[in-house]
Amino acid sequence: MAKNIEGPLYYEKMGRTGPVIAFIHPNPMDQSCWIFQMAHLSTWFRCMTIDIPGYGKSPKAKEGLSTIDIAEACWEAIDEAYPGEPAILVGCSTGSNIAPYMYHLRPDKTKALVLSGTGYSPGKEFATARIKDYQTKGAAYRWEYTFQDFSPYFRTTPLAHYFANLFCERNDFADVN
Amino acid sequence: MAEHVEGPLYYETMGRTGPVVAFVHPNPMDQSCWMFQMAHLSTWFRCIAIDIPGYGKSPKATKGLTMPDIAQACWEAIDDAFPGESAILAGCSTGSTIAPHMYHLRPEKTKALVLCGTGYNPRKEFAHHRIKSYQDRGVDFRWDYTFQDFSAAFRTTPLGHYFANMFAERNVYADAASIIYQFEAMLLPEAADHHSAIKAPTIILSGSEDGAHLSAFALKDRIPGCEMRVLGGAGHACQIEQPGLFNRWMIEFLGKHGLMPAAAKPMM
Repeated sequence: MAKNIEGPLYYEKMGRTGPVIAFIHPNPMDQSCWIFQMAHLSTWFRCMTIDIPGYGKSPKAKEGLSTIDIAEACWEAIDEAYPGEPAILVGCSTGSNIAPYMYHLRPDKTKALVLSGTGYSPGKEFATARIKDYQTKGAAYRWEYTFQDFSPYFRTTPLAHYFANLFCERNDFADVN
Repeated sequence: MAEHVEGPLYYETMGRTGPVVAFVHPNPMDQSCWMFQMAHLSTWFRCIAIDIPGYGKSPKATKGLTMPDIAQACWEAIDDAFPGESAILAGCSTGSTIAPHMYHLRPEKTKALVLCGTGYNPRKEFAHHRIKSYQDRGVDFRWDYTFQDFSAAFRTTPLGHYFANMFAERNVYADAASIIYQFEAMLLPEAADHHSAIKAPTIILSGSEDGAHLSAFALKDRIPGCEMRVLGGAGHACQIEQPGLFNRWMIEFLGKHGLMPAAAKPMM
């Protein structure tokens, strides 16, 4: 079991045949942010979307959590869903940060990396501001934060609100720590 | 096994706890048309979206197919995914035609009906046109037919094209003959009390731009206690065009009838 996580991660699956693709979501979303990719790519792939600790319906993390711990927990979810299989890893933002750690844990099992919402930011200044916002506002911060992940145009659409509401309706399962 | 269907239907599931909601798609789509409902409602429900015969990845149908055959095959898919469970049945268009047949097969297992893209149209003139289009053009007809299920505004969007492409990319698994048999099945007469004998809570969610919208009021009048909400601006596949509002009204309806899990706290 991965360290500093209180149990197996929650995931959803779609598709019954083909290679495995595992999707890792951004902050503040959860695995449902990948519904368009799951539905479409399940035509040819076995897809799975994973809730990282504290998001969606996954268990909590403990103090001392490392990105390697999350990467290990994600591989354990893949092992549970598709025992022994390699995977194409797809991430967005935080998910794109986790995916290279997953690669380094199992380079032989990683068929490709598809990264989005990401860049090179060695100082990671954004993290300090996010910690403060979660400390101040709790899991409820996820609603407005969702809109920050969207373009100004998309923020105004009913579909953006559909996603923000969907993520926040799961806040009872979420853990701000 | 259901008659006139060459094997178990394909389905996808989402959600691990809660009551079961089963989604049945319209022509010419497949189970993926319910992605917004599956993702959202799986917060509280175990959801299953089923490909009817000849669509998506389900097996073919054979000549002589009836609507009760399709309804039986859908129940068998639910049994396979969630043995012994009752279900809330949600349909769009053809799916809304199948759902009452599912009710009549297992009234005690049907907790509620959520119907959209539907209406009362006893002569079903549209079926003859659809049969001819599939005879002339085969499964390729599904691409442009998908846009006919959308409002004029939604047809122009990238999302409208996303769905049309996705359904059509599965045409290698689809079967035009099965789809024609399904329309022929739709033309068979229904029992006089087909609608009036429904005792499960029922709601119709109807898009104002749906060609079936005006006939939805007549269907509402035929089902005892049936409720109805109108999604202004949405077309036939209103669950795709306005998922937030569609889901909100579905959740409100289920809550009103005591069918939401006790701990659910949807944002209303």
